[in-house]
Amino acid sequence: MVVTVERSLTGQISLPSARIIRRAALQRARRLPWIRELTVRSGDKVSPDDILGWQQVPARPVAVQVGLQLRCEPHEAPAYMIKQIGERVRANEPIAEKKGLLGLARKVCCSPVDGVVTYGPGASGEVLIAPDGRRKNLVSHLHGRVVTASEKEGCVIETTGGCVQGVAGLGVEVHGPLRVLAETRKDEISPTAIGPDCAGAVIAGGHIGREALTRAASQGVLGIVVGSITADLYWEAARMADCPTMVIIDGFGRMGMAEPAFQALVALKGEVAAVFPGTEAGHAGVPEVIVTVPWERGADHAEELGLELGAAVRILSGPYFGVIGIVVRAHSESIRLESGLVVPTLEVELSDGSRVTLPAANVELVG
Amino acid sequence: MGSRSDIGSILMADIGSAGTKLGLIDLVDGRYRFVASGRAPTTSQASLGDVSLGIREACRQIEAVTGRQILDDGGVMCPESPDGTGIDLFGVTASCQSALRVLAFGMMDVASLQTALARVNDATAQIIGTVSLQKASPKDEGLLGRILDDLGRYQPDVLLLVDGADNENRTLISELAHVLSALPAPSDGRRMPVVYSGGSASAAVLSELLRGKYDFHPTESIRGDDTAEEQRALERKLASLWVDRVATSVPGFSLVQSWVQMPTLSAAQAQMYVTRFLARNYECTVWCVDVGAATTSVLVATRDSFAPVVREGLGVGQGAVSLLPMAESIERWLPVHVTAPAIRDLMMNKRVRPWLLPQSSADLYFETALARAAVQSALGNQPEETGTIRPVLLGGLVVGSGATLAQSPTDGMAALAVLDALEPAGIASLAVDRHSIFPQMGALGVSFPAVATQVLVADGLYRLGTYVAPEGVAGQGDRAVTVAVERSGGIAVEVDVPFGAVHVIPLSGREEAQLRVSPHKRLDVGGGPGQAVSLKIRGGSLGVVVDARGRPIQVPSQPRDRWAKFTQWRDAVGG
Repeated sequence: MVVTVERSLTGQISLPSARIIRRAALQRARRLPWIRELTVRSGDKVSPDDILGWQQVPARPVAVQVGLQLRCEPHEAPAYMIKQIGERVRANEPIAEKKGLLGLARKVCCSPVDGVVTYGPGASGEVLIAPDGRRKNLVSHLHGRVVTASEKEGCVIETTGGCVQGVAGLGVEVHGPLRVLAETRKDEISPTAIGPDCAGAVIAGGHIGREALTRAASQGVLGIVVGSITADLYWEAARMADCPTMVIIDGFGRMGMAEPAFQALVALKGEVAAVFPGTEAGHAGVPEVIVTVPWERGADHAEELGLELGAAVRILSGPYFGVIGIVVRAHSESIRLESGLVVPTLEVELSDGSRVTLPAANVELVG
Repeated sequence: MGSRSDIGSILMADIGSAGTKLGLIDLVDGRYRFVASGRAPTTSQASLGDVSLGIREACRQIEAVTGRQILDDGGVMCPESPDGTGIDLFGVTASCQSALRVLAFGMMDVASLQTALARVNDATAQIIGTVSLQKASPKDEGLLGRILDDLGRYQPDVLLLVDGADNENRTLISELAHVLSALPAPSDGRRMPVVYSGGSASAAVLSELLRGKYDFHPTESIRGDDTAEEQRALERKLASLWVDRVATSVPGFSLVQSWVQMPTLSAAQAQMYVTRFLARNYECTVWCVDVGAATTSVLVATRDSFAPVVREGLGVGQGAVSLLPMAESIERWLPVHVTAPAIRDLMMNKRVRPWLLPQSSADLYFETALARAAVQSALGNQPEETGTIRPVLLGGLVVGSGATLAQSPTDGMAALAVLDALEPAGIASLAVDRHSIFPQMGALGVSFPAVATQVLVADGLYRLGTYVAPEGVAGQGDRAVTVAVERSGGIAVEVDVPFGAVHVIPLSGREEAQLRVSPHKRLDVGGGPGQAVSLKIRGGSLGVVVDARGRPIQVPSQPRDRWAKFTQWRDAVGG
């Protein structure tokens, strides 16, 4: 017997979710693992190009063979050191020197890098030098206001705009004006649509092929947001040196983009889109694109998603992959699927009024 | 702990990469039995971010079936109340975190180092590199540079320094420690564990030099000629570091840990314990094949030996990405035409959403084909000298585990899934871990061996029957085997099975029978080519499954012929 559950389902089944928001107040943490200096304070207004802080990314130490370069026994190397542990050195600056008889046949050992002597000479006659780290800025990428800031944790920015979350990403964080290069959610981005005016932009469409990807790279496109890409092209893109940053919203294949996600991007075209591929420490986790508009005070926060009757879900399997529907029924008993598996299921109504029964595990909440 | 007499109900959870499985054990007529199970997607993904949600969901399924409350807002209710709510014990196994990547530096030759570390490789810790410093002199020019290169190349999670207790090389150890001290701290702020196996004097030096930058863990000294006890100490140390890593990196796991009353184990390690137990208990060779979302293992145990193959990053979920190069061979196991690029799309979709369930028959075929490819890949990667790549048994037991192999919708499909994946030859019992209780019982057995034994013997094996699978190839349609089954009541059945076919002779799990198999002259069921074999067998839910498809399994090259065969084979085992 199948019984309709006429009540809130929240807490009964835990569904993953993907945010698709056209306009709401959003908060995003911006982190750096090695915060050295945060240049913003709570309350500051920020723009996408603003630097929130910077860090010194440490480099691996280098070993310098002092004994070998001075042609002395390892245990003799300490006697020839000019620079001691803790001292700064510049690249090509002598760190050890061995003078020959009467000052002849002088031998010098130089540092290969700018850095600090941290150890040595050890028993092997080697010295370790910690190179200066690489300075890396933490860019805002968002319009908004800093709501919390701490040297240790980084900061949280509140912004107003839309957000579309995806399943995979490549590249580094970027931002640029959003250009939607497709008429419908299923349209593949045409290579001819990518012109010089796309340089520095974030382009979006239902799907992208090899030719369009190559053209996007050559035209200086910064970011690509698509519903789908083939697995083969995704791995090709991962190996491309100049591939724009990419966020895949729905999955692998040619299913295009879910309609609400596509419409959210269409509604926000022309605004600044920040593309977070989920690969960097500053914004690790869910790949997403956040399209911000200049900050509005008092905008409502997006509602928390929960599984309720009437909740919007994206179907993740079978012939309806990527289609959005509404939960109209949760079966209180497990049901046998066509595959033969007996699992908890949901009944989902599609936009044409038809209903499909799906494993509860094969949908995700959207909104 | 195993002697506690006040234990009634026990709840065990296995938190996998894709699914969370729960099993409830309770006393039934004075014996511990497996009474209910629940299953839910693992809820570690970013949008949920709490594995305890999956446990709650699976728990609610058990509550619905049993009518007893197990959970409240505070978590699992322990101990069991007089009114029957709650449970007495809760334990966890996990496979939702990859193994620790261990780089070992040894003050001994490579062979001794590898022998000393022989027990380490499993799903909690994998040796990704061994660096022998035996011949290194502290005075070697370039020693520090080489150590830096090794550390950069391997990117380990854990460093293992192996020194002999009576062979300490304090200068070398000190140099190594200075290199480690010079390395930048990890970006996530965690301190890398350094496990030191050696003498106390060097341990003191290391502890001082690494203070504040690394988590230092001295353990008992191991050497190549050590007994297993010292190696077990190292194994336990690495396992506990793995649990620490799971607790700090899997969201919600620390909360779940606060509910448990017994040590947490990796699922693969627990599975190993159970496989060894089965071999000892049934006094036979056991092949246990387990395909998970991110790990595939093939475990072979006899009374006196054990050979595990555990492949991290290989499976039907996140691990499907490792199978991308095998798309063409996977296509050969699908009942419809799907191009290799489209198969790679499906694999990547499994990678990003590993918890999805097979909705259609085509989905199920795809998942089974992935499982087959994962097992073949795991076996194919073994060095030739470690043995055959498929079981050839005369007697013994083959067990399938993991949702794809063991929880097929029908027993017939489960049998085909295991036979297709492992391609065992000969004659042996065939079973599956239908309720995913192997990992749970392996973990329970560490603290309560008597309870785990009772449950495993009574409910652990879901016996499908006995398979008969000749090794070799004959002509399509030739008589492959003549199989005669004589039940204890004297009723006999004799069947000729043509090559390329699958045939089932019903024999219930309560029945024993005398089996006689006469193979084609080019086929071998364990007695040699063409040699008849006779042995006593037990039945199961299916009976005697005669798999005359040859070894390796002969799949027609033409798609339509192949698809017709798939239908025949599936129909033969009851759909």
